[in-house]
Amino acid sequence: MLLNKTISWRLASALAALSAAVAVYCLARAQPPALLQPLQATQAALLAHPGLFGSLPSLLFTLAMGLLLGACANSRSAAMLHCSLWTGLALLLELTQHPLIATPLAARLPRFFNDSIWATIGPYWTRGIFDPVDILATLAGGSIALLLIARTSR
Amino acid sequence: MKKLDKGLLRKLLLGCVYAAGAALIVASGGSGSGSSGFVCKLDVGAIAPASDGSEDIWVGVVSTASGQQFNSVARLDGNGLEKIGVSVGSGDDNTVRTIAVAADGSNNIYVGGDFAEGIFRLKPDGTLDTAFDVGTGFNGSVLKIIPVANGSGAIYVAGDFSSYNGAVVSGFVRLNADGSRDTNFTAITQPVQDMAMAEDPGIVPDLDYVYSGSAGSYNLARWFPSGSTSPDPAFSPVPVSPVYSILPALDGTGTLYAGGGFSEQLIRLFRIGTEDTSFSIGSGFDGDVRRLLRADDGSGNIYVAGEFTTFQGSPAGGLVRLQNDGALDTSFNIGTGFTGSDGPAPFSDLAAIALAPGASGDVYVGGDYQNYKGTASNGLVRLNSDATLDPVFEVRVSHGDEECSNATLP
Repeated sequence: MLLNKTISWRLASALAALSAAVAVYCLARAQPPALLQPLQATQAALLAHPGLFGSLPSLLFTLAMGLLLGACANSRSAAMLHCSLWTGLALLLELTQHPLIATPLAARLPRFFNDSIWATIGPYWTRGIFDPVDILATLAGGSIALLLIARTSR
Repeated sequence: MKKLDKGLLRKLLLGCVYAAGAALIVASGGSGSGSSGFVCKLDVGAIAPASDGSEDIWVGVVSTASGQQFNSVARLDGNGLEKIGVSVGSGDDNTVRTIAVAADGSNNIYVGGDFAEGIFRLKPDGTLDTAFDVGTGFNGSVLKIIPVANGSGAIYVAGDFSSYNGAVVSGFVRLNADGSRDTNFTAITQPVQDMAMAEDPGIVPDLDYVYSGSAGSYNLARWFPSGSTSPDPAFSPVPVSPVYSILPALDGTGTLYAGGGFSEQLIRLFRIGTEDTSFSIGSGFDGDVRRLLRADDGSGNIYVAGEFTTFQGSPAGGLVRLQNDGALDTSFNIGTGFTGSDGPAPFSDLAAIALAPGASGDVYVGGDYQNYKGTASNGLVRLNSDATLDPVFEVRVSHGDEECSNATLP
């Protein structure tokens, strides 16, 4: 079964956005994976412009996920619905990093997970720092995905 | 049927994409600036008040940025700003473990740790004091330094070493003010994790005795200042091991707190070594006790820090304040406390590892953490007596030409 042109385009865009999100995410860290250590000059450039690159992964990831879900849907309206749902879910997750929510979550959630799982997911709430710019970036990513879905489905 | 299968498959696929996307966000620690940690990560393993009438403190820090790890000793003012910075070296094997201010009126600073020689002395302006000559020094880590309380400038040094300047020693020695070893002090023990002068004003002879705690033989011992090879036989402690921290209660009766990785985790001993059962922590902590500090308010309460997240089943992120009967002091509301240890070296999973009294009933807490009760906190905070963050204190130390602070990564 061949993918139609619309779905192929969404998938390709989604994968490109996802790759970009992962690259920016990994490079904009104090200790990037060893694989990316040779790219220290790029990392230094990213770190020098935290305002510009700080929330880029949020934007790109929401865009990529919106397009991916759109590619899996069977109609234009379903694609837009899932894209919107994802944007809402991403916003909700970001909001849980606010200290008013993250602190009680970090105290209560560990009892529901074994240690190794909590060690993986716990830092999202114990280390995560709520940033309103991430909210804006997530909204922007979702909006761009919606726009692309609407345009490519005509 | 075929259509139904296709619809089901589509729903399954959508479900998987949703789940994978959410899992990626949470497992990555979150995308964007909100969760990426600090531009420069700080681990603070040693704190000592400057003890010169100022609010300043000396700290031993590990700063990590862009894959580079530096170790340094810094003097910070009451706002957390570095006034003096002294580089100790890079990498895990140069970690600063302990700092002590000389008790001879010089305000010199002794620094101990994992680096070559294991110990050095700084003048108050941060320059190296070459009058303190240790030769080849220790062959292992120095974990604790305390000045002898007689104004001579001599110090006790404990740690994980077996030789000093070429001479075979145990993990516990006394050095003269010029760095030479006091050969009259010949205590024989194993690597020592912590020590404390007995210095109980209620018992005059205790002023000169010194206690040691370790994981080996003589896990708890009291030594004569004259330095016999065996400890004081009048102190016959209950068998507990490993002991990571000891603290004289200074309550006029000569009692001593001992904390560690043993089953009771934290006990109080009478002067003869038997357990004082009027102090009990019940079900206690879910991890080892690492550091003890007397609350500086005359209450007899103590701060207890370690590798725990609960005390008696309630959240207690790395630090609690206990009353002198072992009950939790609920006016010090630590909650989830210190989180975000990024181990392994040099302070693997030790969220709160360094404690020191502040100038006005507050307490400095250093360690390997990135959050305090949900607020980004980079390895060193000052807490008010009710466990709220003192917002006036914002740590800022140098990392090469950069500054290490609470600034977060993009």
